[in-house]
Amino acid sequence: MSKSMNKKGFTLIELAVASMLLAVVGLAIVSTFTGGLKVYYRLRDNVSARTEILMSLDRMERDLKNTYTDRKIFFHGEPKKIAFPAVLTLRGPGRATYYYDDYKKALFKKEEDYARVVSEVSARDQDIKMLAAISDIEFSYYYYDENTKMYGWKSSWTEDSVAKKKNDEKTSSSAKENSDLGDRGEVKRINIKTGKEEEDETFPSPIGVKIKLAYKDGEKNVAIERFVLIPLSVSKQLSELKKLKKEKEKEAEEKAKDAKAAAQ
Amino acid sequence: MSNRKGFTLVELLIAVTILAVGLVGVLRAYCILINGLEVAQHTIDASLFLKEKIVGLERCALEQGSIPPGSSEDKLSTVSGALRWESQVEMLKSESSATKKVPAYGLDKVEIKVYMDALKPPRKLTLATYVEVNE
Repeated sequence: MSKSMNKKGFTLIELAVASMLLAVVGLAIVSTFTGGLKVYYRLRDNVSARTEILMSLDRMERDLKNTYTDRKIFFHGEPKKIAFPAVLTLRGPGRATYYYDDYKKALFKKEEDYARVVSEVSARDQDIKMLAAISDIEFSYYYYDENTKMYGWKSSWTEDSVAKKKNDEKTSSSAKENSDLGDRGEVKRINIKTGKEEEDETFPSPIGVKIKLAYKDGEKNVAIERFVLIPLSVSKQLSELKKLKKEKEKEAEEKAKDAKAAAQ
Repeated sequence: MSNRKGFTLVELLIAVTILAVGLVGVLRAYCILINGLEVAQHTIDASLFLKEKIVGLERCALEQGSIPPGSSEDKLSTVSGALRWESQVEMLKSESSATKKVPAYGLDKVEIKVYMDALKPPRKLTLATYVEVNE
């Protein structure tokens, strides 16, 4: 009797119990999956955004640290844009430009090789790359003021500011030679066509650049600040300071000698 | 006939044990993964701090001519949690100049340690380098 009952099928209660159990198990599985997916999306959107920003900052830092002074490519700094001579990956020397696009709310990098910059051909589309989505950026430029003997900050670093500086030097201290361009005075460049001597102009880079960057992590604003010192400018500045110090020491020694001689 | 009655207790116990072993393996993999993520986050924060610190010291060397020697330590809070750091600055002298009290190389030896105490086991990141000074 019991056998035949069993063979007939499930009772309603059995089915209900089974489906309830199934539902519970299914619900557990689904909720685990949705939780996992949520974590995955959060990681993808936020953590990868942060990673991208940190990586683009590192790129910028590497390029800035490898910058050099050049006759054709000048260091050009604005509050939201920076262009400087750089060593481009696989393409050798050229100009790297980092800028913030207010419309697209993102940080971009433009790479132009040397020939393009010199012949003033505009950059191709593939030379421009989006680095990271950010909400704001601000560059400021760290420099040494020859007049006040103090370090300070500038919001832009353009040729105008140096042209002014040169005039100032010519008028104020003509005795001080090669003040911030190292030994450039020793090199003479002669134009092949005209046979005349060309003025050898380079444009110094600032000693350092501060990058203030803001981005949105979900709803809160996050700010990152990074200060990059340019090794070439730093060593130039240090040797300059060392020279000054030596001169001072010499002067002091001579004074001491004079004082001794006077005493005798 | 006896099979139709159901599982014996022993069978059930064996099944549960096997399942438990399998589950423990999977859960441990998760645990290791999360731990690894935490370590990575702390290490990133620590290295960012090291970068900032070194630039600060270089700037100090530029502006003041030298870095004040000695050791210092402090705590800082980052995205991933609290970190603790120690730094030591030493003037680099040659043997002959040690007697003359003149630093010969124009370099300062800098060592910075960042301790990640929140991690289990705790980790340490050390940076030792030389900074050019005006001496």
